[in-house]
Amino acid sequence: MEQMGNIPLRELSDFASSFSDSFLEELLAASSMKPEERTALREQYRNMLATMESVQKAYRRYEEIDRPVIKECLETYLLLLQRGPESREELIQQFAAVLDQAARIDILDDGMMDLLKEIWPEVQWPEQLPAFEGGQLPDESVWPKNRLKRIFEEKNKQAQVFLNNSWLLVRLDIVSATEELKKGKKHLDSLGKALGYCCKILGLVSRIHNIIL
Amino acid sequence: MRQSLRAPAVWCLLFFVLLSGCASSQQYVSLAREGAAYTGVVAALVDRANAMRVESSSYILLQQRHEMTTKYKGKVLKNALLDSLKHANQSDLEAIENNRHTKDLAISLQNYFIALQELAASTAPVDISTKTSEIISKLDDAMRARNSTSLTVPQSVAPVIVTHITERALQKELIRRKQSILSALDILDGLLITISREIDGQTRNIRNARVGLLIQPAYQDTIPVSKLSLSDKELWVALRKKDLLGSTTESDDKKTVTAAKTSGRKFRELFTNMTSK
Repeated sequence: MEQMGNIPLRELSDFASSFSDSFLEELLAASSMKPEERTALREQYRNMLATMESVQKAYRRYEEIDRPVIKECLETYLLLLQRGPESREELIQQFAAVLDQAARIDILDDGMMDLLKEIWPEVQWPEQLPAFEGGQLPDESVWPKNRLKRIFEEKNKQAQVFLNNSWLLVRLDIVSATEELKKGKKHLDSLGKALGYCCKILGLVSRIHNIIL
Repeated sequence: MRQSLRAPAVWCLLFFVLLSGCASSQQYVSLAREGAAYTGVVAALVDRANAMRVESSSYILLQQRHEMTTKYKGKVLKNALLDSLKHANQSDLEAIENNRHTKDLAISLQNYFIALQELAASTAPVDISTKTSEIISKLDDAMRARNSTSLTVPQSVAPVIVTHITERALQKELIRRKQSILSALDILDGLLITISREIDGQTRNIRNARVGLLIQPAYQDTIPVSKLSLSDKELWVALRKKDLLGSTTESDDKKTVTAAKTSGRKFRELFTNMTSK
């Protein structure tokens, strides 16, 4: 898999790709688990792989298809915001596209979130923009200025909640379990625990993507 | 004769052990001091982010009020204004509450480092675990309190049983707490990413708002300056001064965030080195 910009997903992928089916079977064979516990663990493992595949697919689509469009749109608009009255109509027309693209930003995409943080405070005060200097300001129907601020604040809050209330609480366990897997250490307890965390976090990541897509 | 030759050698060895023990303890004092400073900066940045957010949303409320008065009248206007205020308050309070939990975590970690610094600087016999266990429990609780994934987050580690402060005892203490401390550091690093972005966005908004809402309209007002009261003139000058000097504050904020990120990185490296077995 190519290098992903989304660090949590990269570390989760690293864990999943280091955890092979045959290694799980080796661990189970050496364990004293009851048959139903083995079945449950195999089921959890299969679920993890299936969710991982769909999350990776969604994120690949984001990186390859969505992100370049979002980036182009926001970067162009940032330049447009600095232009004079000759760009008035273009600035208004492109605003709807900026709202659409901003809503598609992945909350863990620092590059796009940083672009958004530069745009919303400019949009919020149209009277300060050179394009509207001395002319009539666009009305709310074509310039819903508060929406961009709300998109930014909501996404930044979601990122903070995801990082600080979920991912970073269990990250170390997943990273150290990946190290164990790479060294071929057979610690079913820590791997089982990391597997559980991985499933939960992947569930959250897929929910975040459902919100975006 | 042999006995008398050996005695000074033993004393020299003991003296050397004591000296090297002191130097090592000093390293732990420094580490703890750095940790306390870093966590303190993060906690202060949380306060700064909260203040910026409220100031920024207050300007937007004034902007909305201005627009609503041109659109609505009477009771409709009053209700619209009330809704707008309620919405802004709720949104700000949610953000402040979310930041508060991470600030609690930063403060708990800072308390741990302060305790560790005191212990490392002391030569009195003391049970380290008694001094640090309660603090680390609070740190773990602060982390678990924000757990939104219904995960079973690891319990606090068993206390470290040592009764004399030596380099080995301090290292043992840190190694046992490593998981909790690294998790907390991860969370503070995560907070720095989102909080610096928040501060930056709100600062840009405040700067535009001051000019668009206060400084420019007052200056463009056609009332002759001679008819303005002294306090109005003074207020305008103060606002303009605040706006232009505000850019210095913004630059200070950026420097603080950058310094916090660098200090966090350096501290983590030092901590990792000192806790490697």
